[in-house]
Amino acid sequence: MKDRSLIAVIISRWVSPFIFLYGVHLIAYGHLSPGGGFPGGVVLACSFILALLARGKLAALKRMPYVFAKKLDASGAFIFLLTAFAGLIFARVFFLNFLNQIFPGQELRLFSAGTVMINNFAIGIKICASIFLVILFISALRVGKDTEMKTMEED
Amino acid sequence: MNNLIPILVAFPLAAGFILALLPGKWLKSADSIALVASSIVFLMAAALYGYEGIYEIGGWSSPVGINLHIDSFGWLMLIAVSFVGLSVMLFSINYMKTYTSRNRYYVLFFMMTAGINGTLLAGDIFNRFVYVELAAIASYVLVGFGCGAKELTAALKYAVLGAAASAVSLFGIAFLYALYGTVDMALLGEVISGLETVYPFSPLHLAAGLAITGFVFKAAAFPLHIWQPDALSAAPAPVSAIVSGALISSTGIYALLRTVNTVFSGALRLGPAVAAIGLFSVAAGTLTASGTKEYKRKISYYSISQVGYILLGFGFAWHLIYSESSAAAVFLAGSGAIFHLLNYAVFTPLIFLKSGAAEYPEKRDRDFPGVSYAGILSLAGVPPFAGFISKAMIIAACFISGTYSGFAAGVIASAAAVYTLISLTRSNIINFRIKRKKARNISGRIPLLMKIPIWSLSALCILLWLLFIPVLRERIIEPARLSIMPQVRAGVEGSLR
Amino acid sequence: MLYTLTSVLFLVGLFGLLTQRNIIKIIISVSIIESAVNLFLVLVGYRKEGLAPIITRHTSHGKIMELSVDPFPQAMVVTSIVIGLSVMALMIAIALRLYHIYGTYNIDEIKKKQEEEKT
Repeated sequence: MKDRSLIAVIISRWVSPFIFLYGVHLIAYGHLSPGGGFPGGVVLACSFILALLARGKLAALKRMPYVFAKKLDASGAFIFLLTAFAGLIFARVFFLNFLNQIFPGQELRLFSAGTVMINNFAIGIKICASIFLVILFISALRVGKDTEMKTMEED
Repeated sequence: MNNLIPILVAFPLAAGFILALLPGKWLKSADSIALVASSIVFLMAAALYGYEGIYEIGGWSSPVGINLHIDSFGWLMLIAVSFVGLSVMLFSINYMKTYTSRNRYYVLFFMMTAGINGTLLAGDIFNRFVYVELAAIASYVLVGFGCGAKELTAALKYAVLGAAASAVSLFGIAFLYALYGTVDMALLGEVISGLETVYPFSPLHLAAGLAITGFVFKAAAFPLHIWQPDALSAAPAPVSAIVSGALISSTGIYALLRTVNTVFSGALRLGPAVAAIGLFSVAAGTLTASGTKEYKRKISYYSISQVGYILLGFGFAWHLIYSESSAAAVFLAGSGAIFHLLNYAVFTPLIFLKSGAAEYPEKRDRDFPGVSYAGILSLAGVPPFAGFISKAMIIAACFISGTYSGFAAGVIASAAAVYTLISLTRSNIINFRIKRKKARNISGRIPLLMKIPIWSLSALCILLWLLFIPVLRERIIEPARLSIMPQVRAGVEGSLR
Repeated sequence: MLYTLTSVLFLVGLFGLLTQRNIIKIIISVSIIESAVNLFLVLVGYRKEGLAPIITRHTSHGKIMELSVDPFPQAMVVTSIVIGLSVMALMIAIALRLYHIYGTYNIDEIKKKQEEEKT
């Protein structure tokens, strides 16, 4: 284990919750203001990647275990598809915004615009997990420890 | 019925995500889940037989929303492609046991299936681009699935060139949007065919050239075919079966045809250009194939020349449709090309699957190719096989068109066909004598699940003759041909000449 | 003018793709091509002093149609960025794997080593 700068470790520990919170905000208000699933998901992933860069792989994996990230990745996409199918089931049209009657589109209201918010959250989860996994894999490949990759895959 | 259209795209994706979500204990059931899912995809595609319609996703109508669109050519290709997909899936259940993490292979396979179905169904040009990319990204990964040095270099080459080609294509789409303010293919076609005059070297020509380039790359036609031999000879056998004939190439051809016909045919005569691309692919594929020794590489060069025949037929039909004198030539070229596309989607996967079956229990015995005689003979165009009649139709169309360019094209195409026939049959007869004994040993070792797809595809190599019977031809091939031909209107004719 | 500049950027990327021998530089060239296309798409929808295409209390529907920038190319750009990102990640992963095997990023050297292995 290399010596890590104390400043980087502590600052990253302080900053990453705020980055996470900002990501959640971007996703939650995605249908009202600029933002949405993709940028918000990237910001969410950044909070984990910061931990990866500043405090090493183990610290990052403690927050976001490898298997959990994989499941999160698939389930985010699956939720997105489920809302699409729900439109087919409840309103007879694929991808129809079937909650639009209950939560009609209103400005500056968090619960509005029907299924758009659910979709944003699904995409946010998926993007967060998959970008984290991409960076994780590339960092594992860079170090060149194939054994490390294998142990991760076996988990 | 109508609701099946979006489900055909969404269901494979859902199957893929379910497979990705499977907990570790359940991994053994991944095989059966994958098999069931891909047979459901095939059944859904078969249920769309004869259906034509438009589906508006989310209830948003055309200029704003995304729509899916299916017509006679669409369902024909959908059924063919999902049948081949099902047989490849049957084959790969046993074959992929020699690789690690079979589960991920299935996930990628279903992503690719979704992308391909989407490409066949998409109603606007940007979504078609996105679906092509979805299928292509999955295929980049699948080509490099073995993670050996050879696979990785092939996958890298494929990915880099593919990314560049699709960026060019996107540039063209952006150009079209800048010029006409829509990406819906039907609307674009209307706007473009309503243009008064089209100057030579207008922005429209540039946009058409750019937009088509990416699809030419995916179809592996002449100037952009260089990725295919590397990728096909390196990838695992089922993957090269998918990437070659069945899916990526045929859907590339399909996307190319759709774009040219629906969008540009109103104002631009791209028929000669497509025919020229086809002719060059025929010549280049056949010539380079004669110089290569490695079996899979040779086959992939020949498959490039088959793509060339298909494009030649379509280009010729589009070119000739404007002259009333040669209705027979139009018919022969158009339906021959569709027929050849179906044949091509059957025999190339068959050849690659058979050579994969020879490698099966001990991996990578590349010196001994498992030769599929049905596939090879159908590719070469030997009479009892269906490949003969489609190729003969295209060549005959070239000759009876009565133009000099048609005659020249016919000479080149038939020379290439004869050369292919001689070289392939000769090398395989030699091969057959030497390796007959070894082949017997091998066919004993293959499990039944791998034999079924090979048998069924081999049978199809001959049974596709049935599509030539008038009753079936009028039901299946004729509507497809008519849906891919430009509408000739009397008024526009004079101004464009 | 700006359209011409994006096509120049595109050609720069294409030049890099064709001439560079280092895998990482090739990947960078591909990303330059992609950003040229994305830039072009954004410029297509741009309107001078346009509004953000969000309907609020102060902007009616008609005003949006009249004054706002075109939101559709932006949606296309987001999609193409995502595609570009995934292809990029894939290419980098493959390049790193190749570096493990051959110890170099240079295509010529990789080819040389492959031929040595064959003989």
